[in-house]
Amino acid sequence: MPIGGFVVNAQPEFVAEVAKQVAAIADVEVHGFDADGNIVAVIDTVSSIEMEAHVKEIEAIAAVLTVGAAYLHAEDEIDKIISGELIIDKPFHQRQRH
Amino acid sequence: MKNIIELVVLLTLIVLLSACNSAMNGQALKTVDPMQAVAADHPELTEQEKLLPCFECHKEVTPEIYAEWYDSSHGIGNVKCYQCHGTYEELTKVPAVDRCSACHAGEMHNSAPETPCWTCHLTHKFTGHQR
Amino acid sequence: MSVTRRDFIKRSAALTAASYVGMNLPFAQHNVAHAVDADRWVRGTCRLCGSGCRLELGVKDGRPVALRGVPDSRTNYGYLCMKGMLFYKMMQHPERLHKPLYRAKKDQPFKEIGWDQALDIAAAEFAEAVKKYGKDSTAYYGSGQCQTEETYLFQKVFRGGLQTNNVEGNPRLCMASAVGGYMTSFGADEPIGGYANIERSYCIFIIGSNMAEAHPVIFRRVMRRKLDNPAKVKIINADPRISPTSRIADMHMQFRPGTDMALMNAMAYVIIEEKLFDQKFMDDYCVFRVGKDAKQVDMAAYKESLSAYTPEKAVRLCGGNITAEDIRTAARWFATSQGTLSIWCMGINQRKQGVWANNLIHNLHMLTGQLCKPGADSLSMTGQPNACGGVREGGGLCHILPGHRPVVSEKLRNQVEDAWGIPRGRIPPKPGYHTMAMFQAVNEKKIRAIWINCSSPAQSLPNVTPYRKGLQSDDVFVVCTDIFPTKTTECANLILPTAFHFEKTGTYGCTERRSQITVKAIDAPGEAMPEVWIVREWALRLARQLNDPIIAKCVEPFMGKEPDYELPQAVWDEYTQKLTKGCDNDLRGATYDVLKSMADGVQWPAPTVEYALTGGTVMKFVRGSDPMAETEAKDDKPYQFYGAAHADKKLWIWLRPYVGADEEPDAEYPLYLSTGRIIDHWHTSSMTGRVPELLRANPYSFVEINPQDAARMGVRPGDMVEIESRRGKVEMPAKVVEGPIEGMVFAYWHDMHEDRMINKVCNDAYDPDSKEPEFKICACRVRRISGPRALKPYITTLNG
Repeated sequence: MPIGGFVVNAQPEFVAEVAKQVAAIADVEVHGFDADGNIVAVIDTVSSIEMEAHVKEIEAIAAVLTVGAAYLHAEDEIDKIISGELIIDKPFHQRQRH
Repeated sequence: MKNIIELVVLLTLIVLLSACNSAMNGQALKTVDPMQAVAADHPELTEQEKLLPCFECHKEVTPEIYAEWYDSSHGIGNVKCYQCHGTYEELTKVPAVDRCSACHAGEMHNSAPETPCWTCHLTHKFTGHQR
Repeated sequence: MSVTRRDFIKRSAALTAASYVGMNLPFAQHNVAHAVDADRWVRGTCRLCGSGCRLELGVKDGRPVALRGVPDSRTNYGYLCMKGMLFYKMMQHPERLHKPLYRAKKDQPFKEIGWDQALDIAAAEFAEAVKKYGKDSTAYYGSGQCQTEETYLFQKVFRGGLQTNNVEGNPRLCMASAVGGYMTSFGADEPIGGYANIERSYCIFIIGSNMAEAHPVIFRRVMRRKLDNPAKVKIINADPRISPTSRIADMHMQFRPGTDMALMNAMAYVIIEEKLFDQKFMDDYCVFRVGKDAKQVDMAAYKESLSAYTPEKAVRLCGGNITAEDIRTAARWFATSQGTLSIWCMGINQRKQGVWANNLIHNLHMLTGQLCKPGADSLSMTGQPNACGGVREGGGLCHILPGHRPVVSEKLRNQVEDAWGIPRGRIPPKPGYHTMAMFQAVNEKKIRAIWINCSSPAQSLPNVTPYRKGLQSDDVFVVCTDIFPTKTTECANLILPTAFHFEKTGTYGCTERRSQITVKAIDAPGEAMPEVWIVREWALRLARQLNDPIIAKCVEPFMGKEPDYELPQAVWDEYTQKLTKGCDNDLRGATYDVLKSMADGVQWPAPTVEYALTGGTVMKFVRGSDPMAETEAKDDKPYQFYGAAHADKKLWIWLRPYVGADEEPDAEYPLYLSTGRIIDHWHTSSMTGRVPELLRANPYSFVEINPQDAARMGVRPGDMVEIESRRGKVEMPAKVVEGPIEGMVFAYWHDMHEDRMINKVCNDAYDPDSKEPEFKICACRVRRISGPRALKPYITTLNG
């Protein structure tokens, strides 16, 4: 059940609209935005796969320049990683070993 | 283990990259509403705990802030936390800027309307103009 | 609102991200503090301490919403302490008294009644007391927090109407020794200078005062003076206790309580020995006097009297951290600075020898000529906002009439009677009961009807237990005018709800002879009324009950005037135009129109409107600053000490020996006990205890114990300890701090709780001249009771 804090950087003149679109995505909360085009978003999902999907969704919005992770809380998955149930070799990509 | 280290390294890179996107000069940039207060998310306290003065905990929890305040003119002059930040029912992390006008109405009248006082008079040292 | 763990983590995530781009996140779902939204701002004076800060009340839709300082005021320059910032929260507080309350017997519950009935009862009871027991069985106990108009009108009705001088007030407990000191040293009450000397002084001697907490906004000026001139300005702090005030001191002198008298004599010794005195100033303006009959002596005799106070001898007596070299250094700084300012308060006044302690401070200034020039002043800080203006100047003590007139003078009594248009002989020739005697008289059933206005002696008197018991007796009819239930309303038969500050118009006179006006800004809650209206209506009924039309004559000039503005204005006009005319506190220029036009107010003497508009007299006795220094001049000298109490128009340097406290520690009670205020609370906390921020800052009284003493007693921080004297005992949580000197404990006195009311323990011995009690020193013993306990703050309700 990872929680991630992200900074979405959008073109400044469209920041308000982008913030609205981002907020409309399920599991995503917009906590604030500023006149420089920065948007603070928190993504709270059941798994990192879903989180990665939401990030891709946000990146796909026109006028979004970058999405950066500033904070990741993933303790629920750490146990699975340690036991070998879950293998992460790249962020937001996962392969499950059967 | 190796995978976790890679995870951490990659995360760090991403963090740094996104950080470079914005100007990090340590001061508040123009925000949507710079003059609006920011509510504090204080941990829940019992009624009894609320009877402790703020510094009892904050001496340990935010020691740099306490030290800065203590040696500032606010600290020597006994301007206490709650005068700017309010009490629990209305606690703010960033006070409404016109709270400063209780004592500094003259200065506020003469300064730029969009700039909160602490942009220049850094919290919690509150250094003033040199005489 | 509670925060789940998940929410907390999400919040941390958002804050972290925001911090990378320096964003402040607004949160709509929480209670965000709104910017102050007022539709008008009304100017007035702070309700709390004697600093005299000027502020404005923000009003929105008839409700008080904020307070802010007035930047152009020459007292506070716009600054406020937390009490001044927050007292608007007292105004519409749910526990405000709304209606008159009455009970025939004190074990009955109070019943709400109407004003007509309430005033009839008050008149009937006082009339009955007069008829059965005589005029002096009635009494008025007022306050340094009443407006001048209120004190003046009450004392007019009592003296001219009821014909008793049993008119007293709580300034007897705090300022009487300062009055005595000024009268005997300078010949007239109240400081020569004022706050303006702070920014021009180079040596500031703070003794017996924790002004950082007791007068925070004036302390700010001292702090600023020091911080801006760290090398040039010297601060000396003399106090048995290390307090927040000590933070800016270059030298802190810590001594055994009461030995400050020896310390100051030792400083005088050094000034004489090292020839640091100002011979010309002394020749021109001073004489030396000694003893009950004020015998004049010469400098040689004075020097001889100091031989017991060499620095070495004084150091042995004082103990603490003082060295002989410290005393010499302090004396040299004092004498040689370009302008030396002394500041003191209760540590000096609330003493068995309070007047003498005041004299000793004035002596240092007279010896060194540190008076009357910029930055040089001996400035007694006044505790309450209107002890000066109302009680000391308006005739609110048993021995003085308005305008500083001693009641024993027939000529001056006649002046007042003529001004009031009442027959000569109405005002009794002898002073009435002073405060401690007044409450003793209640206990002895000599006083049968007492009116207690805006004060809570059932908590604030020293050795309070027997006096509270006396007030609880059904043999004395007690009427209280107040805004909240207090420990004293618990002893009342009749409670009359009053309008609070900004709910009525009136004047306060602060520390530095400055009268300032507060104009009504909002309506009082319920049926609460201004005191001036209450006195007028009561006096009319009293006149009928006693069939004495002169009582009605006392309020005749105020008939038909509406109570919010016209009535107090008429009272103020009579007082200033008729009673202060030609007196040293001449306030004729300070009309309501003048006072309202000013950022701050008017320092007397200010005989003309023109002079009042400049702010009035900055330095008394100085030609060019004080108009009376011209009109009363006896020669060409630049300073004219025209004080009425000194026939020779000179300043008197008194030979005063060190005398210990009334009750020194002994084998049974081995520790000194001292008490005092802390910054967040005012006096008995009946007001400040009802503001959440202030209550939480100091929810109950603590006792400060020195770490050495604590170690000996096995006391750790937060432990409950018992403090006991011959008079009673209380329990308090302990603070273990490098505060009080070893061998002394310091307790806060604001707590109303029975178990923590420190005045039960204090000593009611008083100064034989000023009659002010020795709150500051008595003997106690302290023992650990238990570990920390979860205590509940206590603010009293109507029925206790």
